[in-house]
Amino acid sequence: MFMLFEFLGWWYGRGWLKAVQTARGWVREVEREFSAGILIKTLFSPWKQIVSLPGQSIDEKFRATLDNLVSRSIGFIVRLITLLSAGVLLILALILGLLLVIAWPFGPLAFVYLVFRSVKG
Amino acid sequence: MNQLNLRSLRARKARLAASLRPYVYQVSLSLVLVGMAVAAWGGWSGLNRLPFAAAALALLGLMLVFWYRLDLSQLPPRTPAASLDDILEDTLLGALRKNAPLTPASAWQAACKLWPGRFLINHLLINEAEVGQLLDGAAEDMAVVWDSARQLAEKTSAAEVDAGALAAALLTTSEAAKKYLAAHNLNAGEITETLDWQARLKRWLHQLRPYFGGIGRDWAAGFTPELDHFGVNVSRAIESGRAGHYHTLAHADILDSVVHNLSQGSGALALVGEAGAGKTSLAYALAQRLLEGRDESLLYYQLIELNAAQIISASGKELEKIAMTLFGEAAHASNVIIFLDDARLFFGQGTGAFDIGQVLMPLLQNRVIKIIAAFTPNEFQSLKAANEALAADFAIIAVKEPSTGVIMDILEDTALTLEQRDGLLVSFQAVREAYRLSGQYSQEASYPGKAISLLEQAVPYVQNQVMSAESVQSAVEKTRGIKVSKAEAPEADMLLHLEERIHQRMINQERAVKVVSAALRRGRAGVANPNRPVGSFLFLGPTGVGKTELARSLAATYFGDPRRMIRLDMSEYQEPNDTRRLLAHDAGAGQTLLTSIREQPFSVVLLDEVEKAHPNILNLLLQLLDEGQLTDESGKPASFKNAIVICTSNAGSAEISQQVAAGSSLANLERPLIDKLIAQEMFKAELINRFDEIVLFRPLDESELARVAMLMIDELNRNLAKQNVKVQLTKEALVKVVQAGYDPRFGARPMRRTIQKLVEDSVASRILSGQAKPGSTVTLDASDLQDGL
Repeated sequence: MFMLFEFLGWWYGRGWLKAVQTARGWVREVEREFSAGILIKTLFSPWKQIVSLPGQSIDEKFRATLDNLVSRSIGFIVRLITLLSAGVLLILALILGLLLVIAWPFGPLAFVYLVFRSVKG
Repeated sequence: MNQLNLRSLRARKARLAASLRPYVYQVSLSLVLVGMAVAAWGGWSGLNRLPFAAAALALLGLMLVFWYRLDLSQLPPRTPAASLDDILEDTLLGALRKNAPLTPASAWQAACKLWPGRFLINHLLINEAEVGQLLDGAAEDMAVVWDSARQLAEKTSAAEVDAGALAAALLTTSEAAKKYLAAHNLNAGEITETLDWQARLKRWLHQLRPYFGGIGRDWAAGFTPELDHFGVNVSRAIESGRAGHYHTLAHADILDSVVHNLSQGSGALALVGEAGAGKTSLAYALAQRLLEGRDESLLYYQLIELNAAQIISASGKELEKIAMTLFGEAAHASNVIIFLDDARLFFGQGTGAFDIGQVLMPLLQNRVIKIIAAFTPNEFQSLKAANEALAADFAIIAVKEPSTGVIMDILEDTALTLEQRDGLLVSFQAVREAYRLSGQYSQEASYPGKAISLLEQAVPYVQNQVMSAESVQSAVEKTRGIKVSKAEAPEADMLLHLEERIHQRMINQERAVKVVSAALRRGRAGVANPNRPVGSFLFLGPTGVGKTELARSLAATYFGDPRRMIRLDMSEYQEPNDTRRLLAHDAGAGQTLLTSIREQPFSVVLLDEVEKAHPNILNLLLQLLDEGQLTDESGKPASFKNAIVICTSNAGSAEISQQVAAGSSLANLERPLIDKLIAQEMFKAELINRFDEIVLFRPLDESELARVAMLMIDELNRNLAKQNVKVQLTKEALVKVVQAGYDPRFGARPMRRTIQKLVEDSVASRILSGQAKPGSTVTLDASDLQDGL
């Protein structure tokens, strides 16, 4: 009985705070794995730093500019797709986290209700 | 504070966690899955109560796993602590029974079941059952144990008292356990050291996973196909756990300096230190630190190590082009630090070297790339001499040997990497022995590298997957051909009867053989001062009385090979600048005393006619005898601590001969003769006093010369054994050989030549003429020897 009260005390006290921390951890993990910060900072950077150095003639300069534009475009597209994927996962993590935090206090109550229903029918 | 309340809430929770731990996840997951499945099936089937009961079970499983994971499995210590249970690690607290009195024996049992305790007993090779039987104290004795455990935990900077600290406290507070430790060559300090090792591992295992930058990091940097091909990405190896754990504390201050230099824009750093001082591990520790992301300006930088041999074998004549491509990629990637281990190979020094100096110099001057190169001091000096401008581009970071404590920490961390790599257990004794023996027998390299090499060499010698001190000793014995382990029965017997063995090669000189044998026994039993040569002797006596033969016998008996002898004629060192010839260490100087002793530290060093050497050299001899080492011109010591140093001299030989002829004993003659030699300034008193023994050799009489001749005939018979022919001398023949082979000026020295002329020539003629057939014995009389002369 003592442990039951201890469990309930924890569940509605530090346990709830831990649930919030866990939800935050899920969001942070997605952000870390996708390194969204770096992706945003380098969104318009050339892909893998592949750049052409401009030559002397106008033709060479034009070609280099075109190459660099292609490199940046590839970089932009790949990073954007990754960021969008990260965004989807981030939203999922947020939803799950919110569900956890909101549903948390109902856990023991739901258990009592389910037990009651399983007895009474 | 030493009150332990096993009924406290924390203790109850710890016990609950301990009982749940083995199966909590399986049970909870089963409850959730089965509960949900049954609830869904029941609901679909229109059942009334079952779906609710099943859903309740599923929810119970879910709540149980949350409670366990977020609370029960990580009970932090309570501060400020009111009682002992507040600061006991939860697993230990959970293992203590509340209904039984806690005694040292039951506490030992509890500690040994948990990994911190097991780590300690496994790595100290302690027999759990034997110690358990020794711990016969009562419950009251636990107060002292807990007190000690708390202190030990504090010493290792641990916030809690875990099973390791408890086991260590039990071992160091019980008198019986202390005796057990002493019998196993362990002491309390070493128990604490092992506990510290375990605490460091625990901290490392519990530290948060560092943030390495995610997938965006690699996409932000440049494309490096050639660098990936010719180099090893150290950062990735560390990130994936393939490169092991690097002890960033080993050179913490130097590491700070490296990071500071790189952050401030220095393009090139030269890590200058002796081989083994930790240059490579410093570079690897840098890679690890960069991955931790603490240094903002070097965020996401990667360390790539270039392999000189691979570049040469792949590039052929296009070496310069490859080098340009590699450095171009590094510059372009903007997040690469190139590491040149054994950098001399990239700057034209040594076999298989090539020179990238000209390619590199403009890049370094413009600070286009970041590069770290590892050199020994000599190698860097050579680079400076060859290309001063290039050497000036490098900021020098001196890498010195760390302190003993840090070296042990590094060795322990390395041992864990070996354990993981080779699936074995490296005991504390093995680590300690690797430190001790590498210090004693590897003079060329520095710590911790030489001790790490020895640990790695010991891997093939582990028994039952356990590396012990004996494994390390075997590695030294097999790779260096010397005995370092405790003398076993046959060897101990040999040492105890050393005089008899030496006398199989030596005639008479009883006193000389006795004092020398005693010195060897002291050295082998570990009684002698380890900071001096194993033995040091001054042999005085006439020519041809066995001084050199005794030295050779020692090399054969003690070091196992008569060729383990470094012999110098000191009459060739009479000029003041001859010290250079003695101390030179470079290849151009040829074989010198120091190069010889470094190649063969386990030798008899025989310095003939020592009195003829220049006084400067005799001063060096003082240092050698006193400190067991000499320092070469570059300041690097060469150890003589494993050598037997013998100086010979003919000084006073006339007096020895006269006195012996007059019937005086050598023991009575020794002191007056030494005083006389000092008075005559043949030797300085301080030199004489530094020898372990001054040994007088007396002239051999006729019967002894006959025995010397017989020894030589025995040697001849061993050579003839291949042809199955034996030779023997009649009494008259032997007398004739002795008369012909003795010269008052040279003692028995002409004997070998005489036997060659008289005996070997006669035997050779008989074999060639067919008179001596296989299986026959050639008996030579005095008349037979006449022909040979």
